[in-house]
This record gives sequence, structure tokens and C-alpha cells, in this order.
Amino acid sequence: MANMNYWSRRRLSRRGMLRGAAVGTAGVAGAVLIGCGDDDDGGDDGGGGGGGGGTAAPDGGAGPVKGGISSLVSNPVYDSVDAHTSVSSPVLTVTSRAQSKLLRFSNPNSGEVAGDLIESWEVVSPSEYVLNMRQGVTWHDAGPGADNPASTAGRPLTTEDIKWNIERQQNAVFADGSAGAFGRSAYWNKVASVDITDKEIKLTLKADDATFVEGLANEFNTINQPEMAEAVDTNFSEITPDKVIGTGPFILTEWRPGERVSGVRNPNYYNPDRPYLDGFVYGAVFEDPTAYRIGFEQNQIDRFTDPDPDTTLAIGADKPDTTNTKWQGVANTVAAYTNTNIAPFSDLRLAKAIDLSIDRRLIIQQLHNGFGRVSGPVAWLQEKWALSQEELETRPGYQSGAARDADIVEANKLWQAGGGADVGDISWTIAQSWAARASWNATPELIVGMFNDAFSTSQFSAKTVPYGEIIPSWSDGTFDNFFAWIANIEIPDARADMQAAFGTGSPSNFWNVNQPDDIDAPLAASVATTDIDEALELVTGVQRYILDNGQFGRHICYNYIFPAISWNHYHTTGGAADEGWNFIAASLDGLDEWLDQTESTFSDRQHPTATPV
Amino acid sequence: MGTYILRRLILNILVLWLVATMVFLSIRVLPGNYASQQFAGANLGGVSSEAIAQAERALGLDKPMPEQYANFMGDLLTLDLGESFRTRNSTWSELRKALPYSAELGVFIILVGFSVAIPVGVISAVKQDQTPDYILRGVAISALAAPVFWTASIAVIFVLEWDLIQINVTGQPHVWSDPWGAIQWYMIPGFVGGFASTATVMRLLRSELLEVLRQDYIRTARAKGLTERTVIMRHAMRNAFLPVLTVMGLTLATLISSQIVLEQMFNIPGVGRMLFRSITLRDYPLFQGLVIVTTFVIVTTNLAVDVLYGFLDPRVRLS
Repeated sequence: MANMNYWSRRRLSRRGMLRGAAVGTAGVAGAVLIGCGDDDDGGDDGGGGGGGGGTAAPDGGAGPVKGGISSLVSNPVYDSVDAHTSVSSPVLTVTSRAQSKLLRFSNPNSGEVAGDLIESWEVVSPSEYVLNMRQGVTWHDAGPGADNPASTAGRPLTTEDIKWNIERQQNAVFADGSAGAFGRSAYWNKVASVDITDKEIKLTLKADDATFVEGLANEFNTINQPEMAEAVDTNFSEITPDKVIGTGPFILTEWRPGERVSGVRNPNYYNPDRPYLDGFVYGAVFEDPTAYRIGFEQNQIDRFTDPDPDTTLAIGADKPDTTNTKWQGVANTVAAYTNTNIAPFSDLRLAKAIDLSIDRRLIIQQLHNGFGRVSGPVAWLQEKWALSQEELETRPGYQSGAARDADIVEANKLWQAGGGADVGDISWTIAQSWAARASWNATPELIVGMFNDAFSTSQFSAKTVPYGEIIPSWSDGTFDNFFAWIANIEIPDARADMQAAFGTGSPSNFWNVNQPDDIDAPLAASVATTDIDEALELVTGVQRYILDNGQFGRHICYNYIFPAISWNHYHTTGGAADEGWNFIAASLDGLDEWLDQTESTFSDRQHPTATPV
Repeated sequence: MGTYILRRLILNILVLWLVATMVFLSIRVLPGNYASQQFAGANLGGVSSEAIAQAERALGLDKPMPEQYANFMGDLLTLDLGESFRTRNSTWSELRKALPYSAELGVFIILVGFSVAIPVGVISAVKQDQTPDYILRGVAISALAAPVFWTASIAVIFVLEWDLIQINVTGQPHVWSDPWGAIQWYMIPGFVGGFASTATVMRLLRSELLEVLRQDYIRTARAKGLTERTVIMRHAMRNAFLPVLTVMGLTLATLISSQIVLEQMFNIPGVGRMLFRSITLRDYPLFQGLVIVTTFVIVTTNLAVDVLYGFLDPRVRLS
């Protein structure tokens, strides 16, 4: 049983954890080579941890073979043709196949990185990095993007291109001078200067930052061709394939939102052994479980993920010999926010009471069929940096049984001390897009019932509100109490995320947490140090402090998991045999997907056709 | 007749303007807009207010509503229905893509529905209050009562279990490009939708036929010694069919945009699904354009049916 394996998976040992951290983090001071590209050796690309990459054939069969066109579905939430200005991970599903990054995760779960456009890199000092650019890389010379007069088809990639990409995001302005929302602007603004030669890019940071390297592999950090990006950047939300040119493994030939996306192998990709596929096709994600079921069971798509895990599991149970099921985490952490900027939750006793009263297991059970794990200030997805599940489950607010009863008693004391019934009615906001999901539409009643039961009151009520109304109130600190997803986690290293959420003055610190000694200083030290052991101790210490203070209103609850089922002929990377990536790993999908043409399910399948260049 | 048609045309233009204004306002009354809705289901927590403002500027949603309305009406006068926020294709081009799918499904539904409803309605009327009447009426009402998603789901379970047909939800073939593929794809929604529409037509036809069959001229026809078949088919059906024709016309018009559930279930990229998506995504131009075109089709069909009435029934023409 796939889920049994998942749940019975042992937590990383401390030794293993430190080893992984050392690999994934900018290491020692001084001129030490800490990483090098692995793509020219023709072997498996990373996939290191968690039982190895999924590119190896199951049951010890033959390895990956070239050929075939994958048939998948993608959620057509495409807000931009440019990952720099996108906030939507489905965009990465498309762009990461056509565009490269400086580095990429070889194992996103553990944070291990490998070279992409950067072949190797050196840490001169904790604030100085020298990136050695891969030579001989060229931009696509065919396809709609290459045919666009704004692009320069087939020209070599230069260090100037990379510098332009960095500075563009630092400045966060479009070519016409207008300001833009560039999601990774804060990350790139850690860089004080970019100095280039023909082959090297030297980055000098404003401060020591041991988390910087992982950010280079962030899936949103694609490298655009400057002349093309400048020509189309103020029209980025008009989605057409002729706006995308890259150096990646595939040439994008078709991008019709809501209909189809397809691409074909880039014959000039710098690694001649990749990609394995001749092409890929994405249909628009089905909007009904019936269509999903028909599409998968009649072998029209290679992989299937239904919003309702039971449907996926039922199909897997029905076809145990011809399908594989993988579980993966959802990087959108689920949280409840109380607004500690304003009354009544400016009284931290009330925020603590809420934190204690949240029945995280109940929510996981009711909304996700039990498929999820509780998360603390650092989600379990960022396993290396999170408090262990064992420890978390002994903390107030995370306990079960008699200990939870004691938590509720304590919560009531705090609630009464903070005013209890006198604080009046409390409205709880549920994101509309959350509550609109069929399996989650009982969320308002669930959340309100949970609080009313815990405090033996009827003060709590719920309303559903669209994100468009919720988001602007975050930055000005006037947001309503809130339950739904919060910002997704982009990289496994939790340190920068912790600083962003709880650091004094951070734009994402919506609660205005101001704890210079107990939060800011240890987090700053953890980011600066290259000693992982020390960093880990600092980060876990901060987490315990935050938990002791009711998470300062940012009540992280849990991360859920979902199953994906694929036919035996379809292979991709993704953790252990029955466990997928917990983080976005679209670039690995593009590189490592392959189709086993000897499987009977392959011959039974309806073979798709990708639009040619 | 000419004056009548002209008067109806002017009235239709007024209706279209009213509908256009109402759809413009109603979609904007809904909370959120495309700039925020497009992120629903994605990495929501990562959406900043700057990103939303940026998207609003790009889509022209930052302009005051009167200005947006003036632009919309101005474009409408030149038959420009605007561009979909999502695809940036013109609404006309989106409609051109979706309409054939809805029309194919609609024709399938009508063929099934009417080929069942008409004989059943006739038999039920001729055999009034006899066993066949009870059985056929029971079946028709059951078909009306059963939700299409339920009957379609049951049908899909059977098809998948026995691998009866290939329902091409990814290929989405047209009848003219892959006839057998398309027929298989439309088979379940066509039959399910057809049966669901059977009851209305069957019951209408039955009651009209019963009314007509009691008329003096039917008695006269029988007295003349005409066969029962000739009486029914030549004399009764022609008169009983007028209201049915009205229903057929309206059914065809509304079928185009109303098969949302079946289109969703079978991944048919038709007008109904597009309309639904345009609402959920707050794709204003697409929603406005689709509703206006649908309204146009309905009022025009209505007019055509009324004119057709005149040709079928001299009494209507004379009045």
C-alpha cells in the first residue's frame, strides 16, 4: 500500500539530515568548489535522496529510453508567459520545459542542487559566489519563439544574459520603465553587485547568506532571453507560445490556455542525452471527476490526480498491476490567521487561545480524508528544518487525547482572561476558492463549530471572501481572521521563509512581530552561518519560542498530501518509488520523464501528437 | 407581415441593449475580478496586491466603470465583443471554436430527444389511459426526474467496466474530422441529454394531440372512412405540432448554451462550459459576448418560429 509506505517512512536521521544539508547549502568559507553540473555525464540526473530518482525502471527493469510523447493535464492558471512575473506554479509546468535556470534541484525534498546553466560554482566567502557558466549553450533556433522577430534565434547564451535577468528582477521594472511585480525581487536584492566575464558571474551579497544557493534553483528563477523579454514584457499576460524562447530541453510549439500546450525536443539541448521524450502534450485539467476517470482509464492520459483522493485510490486499487500511485505534499501550507494588529487579538492571550483550540487533526480528517500531517512554524515539507513530528505532537495545540483536553482547558482560561464573551462576535474568513471545492465546502461550518465548541460559545461565525479582497488587506495589516492556504513554499531551506514571516520589518510579517532578541537575532545568525548544526539549533529554538507565543497569530496548521496515479509505462522523478516531490519540480519532470515502450499499457494507450516546430 | 417583422426586430434590438447592460453590470456585481480570480486554485498565498494591480492595469480593469461601459457599448455597435481576458482571443473566435461542439451535442440531443418523444407522445395520446400510456409516461417522467449527471455517471460506469466505446475526452474530435470518434464521444451525453428532454416534448405533444383528436374535423375525417393512421398523421399531427415546433426552436437555441453539466463531465469545450468558466474566472468580455450572442440567437429563433407559425397556420397569418 502506497500510503502505508508513505506514513511509515522513517524521519531522516540527524546524521543524514546534516549530510543533506551540507550538500544543499553553500558550504565553507574560502575558495571551495561545492558543486558541479552533472548533466554531461549522461547518467541519471540527481534524484539522490529519498530512495533515488524515479527514472530507474521499477522492478530493476531496463533504464530510461528515448522516444514517445507524454500526455498529461495541467491546470491552465496561466497569469504570465514569464516566470519572473508569475505567481502561478502551472506557468512553471510550461516554462520550465522550455527555459533553463542557473541551478536546479536534483532532489527538491532535501534541497540537493545540480548545475543547469551554471556548470559549477564556488563560494569565495559566505557573501561571495562565483558561478561558472556552461559553455556552448544556445537559445532555441526553431519554433514560435525563435520565429518571433523580437528574439535572436540560435545565438549563444552569454553571461550578459544572466546579468540582465538578475538586474531586471532586482529593479522590478519593465522595459518601458513601468514598475512590475517580480516575485523574486527580494531574493535578488540580496545581491549587491553582479560582475561578469565571458565565462564567470561573480555575485557579491549584501550580507552573508547561506540560503542563497538554493534560491538559484527556485523554479521561478528561469533565464529569459533579454531582447525577447523586453519586447513582450508589458504584455506578459497574453499567453502565446511565440513569446517564449529558452535554452531548455523542449521547444514550446503550442500554448493555448484552457485547451492545449505542447512542445517538442530541443535537438540542440546542451545535454545530448536529454530529454528522453520526443515531445509533451498538456491538455487542460479536467473540470469533472468523470472526465478525469474516462481520460485515465481509457489510457488517454499518462497520469491522473483527482481533487478527491478516494477516486484516485479507487482506480489504483482496481488496477494494481498496471498502475503506480505516488503521494506528494502540497506546498501551500494551510493556516489560520488571527489579526494581532487590532483588537481583540492584539491581546496575545486570545491569539494563544485560538492556537490551542485549533483541532488540526480534525480538520485533516474532515477535509482531506486524513491525508496530511500537522505543521508548525516550519512546515514538515521543509523537513530538514522543521521540529520533528514527535516533538510537535507534544506541543500545546498539537496534542491529542487527554493532553488536548488540557489544551482546551488552558485555551478557555486564556479566552476568558482576554475578555471571553465580552470581545463580542468574531467573524472568520474562509477563502472563496477554498470553500468552493466540493470536498471542502463544509469548511466554514467546521472552523466556526470548532471554535464555538472549544470556547462553549456562539461568538464565531464565518464568511467566504475571494482572495482578491483578502490579499490587499494583508499588507496594510487590516486583514480579517482567515483560514485557507498561505504562501507556497518554494525551496526546502526554511530560514529565509522564517525571516520573511517573523522578521521585524519584513513586508510579509503581516502581524508586525517585533522580537529582536528572540527571533530576529537567532534567525539572522542562522542565515549567516555555514555551520548547519548551529543553524538548525537556532531555527528550531525560534520555532519553539514562536509556538510558546501562540505563533503570534500566524497559526500554521498542516500540509496535506495527495495521490497521483500513473500507468506503468510512465516514469518521472519524484522521491522514492511511491512518494513524489513535495516541492515544485517541473524542470525535473521535463528532463526525466520517459515512457517505457515495452509495457503493455504503452501499446494500449492513445498516442498524442505534439504540434511540430 | 412586413410591419410585424420590422416591429419585432426593433423590439429585439431593445432587448439586446437591455441584456447587454444587465450582463455588464451583473458580472461586475460578483466579488473579485479576473485579476484575482485567475489565481484561484494556484499558489494563492503567493499573490501580492501588486501582482493583482499589475494584472488589472494590463486588462484595463483599473479604468472607471462608466468608461468601461462606454467602451463596451461602443465596441458592441461595431459588433466587436472584445477579447477574452484568459486567452486574449476575440470572443467571436472563442465562439467559433466552441459553437460547433455545442451544436454537435445539441443536434445529437435533439435527434435522440425528438425521435423518442414524438412517437412516444403519439402512442401515449392514441392509447390514452391504457397500459402503454401509463408505461411511456412513467418512463418519460423518470427521464425528466433523473439528474443528467446521475444518468451520465451510471452510463460511464458501464462503458468503462465493459470497455464498450472510446470516449475521447482528450482528442475532442468533430463529426466531420473523425465521425466515429465524435459519435462515441457524444453518445452518452447525447442520449442522456436527449432522454432528459423527452418528457417535456412528449407530454406537450400528448396533450395537444388529445385536444386535437376531440375536434369536429377529426370526427369528420374518421367519418369519411380515412384510416386511423391518415387521421393522426395528416390531420391531427399537423395541428398538434405547432406548439411542439415552438418548443423545438427554443430547445435548440437554449441547448447551445445550457449543457454545462454534460460538457463538464465529458470535457466538451462547448459554449455552456465556456460560459460557466467565464463567470467563475470573471472573464468579463467573454461572458458578455456569449450572453449577448445567446440572447440574439434566442430572440431571433423566437421571431423565426413566430414567422413560421404564420406559414403553417393561415389563421395566425391573417390575424
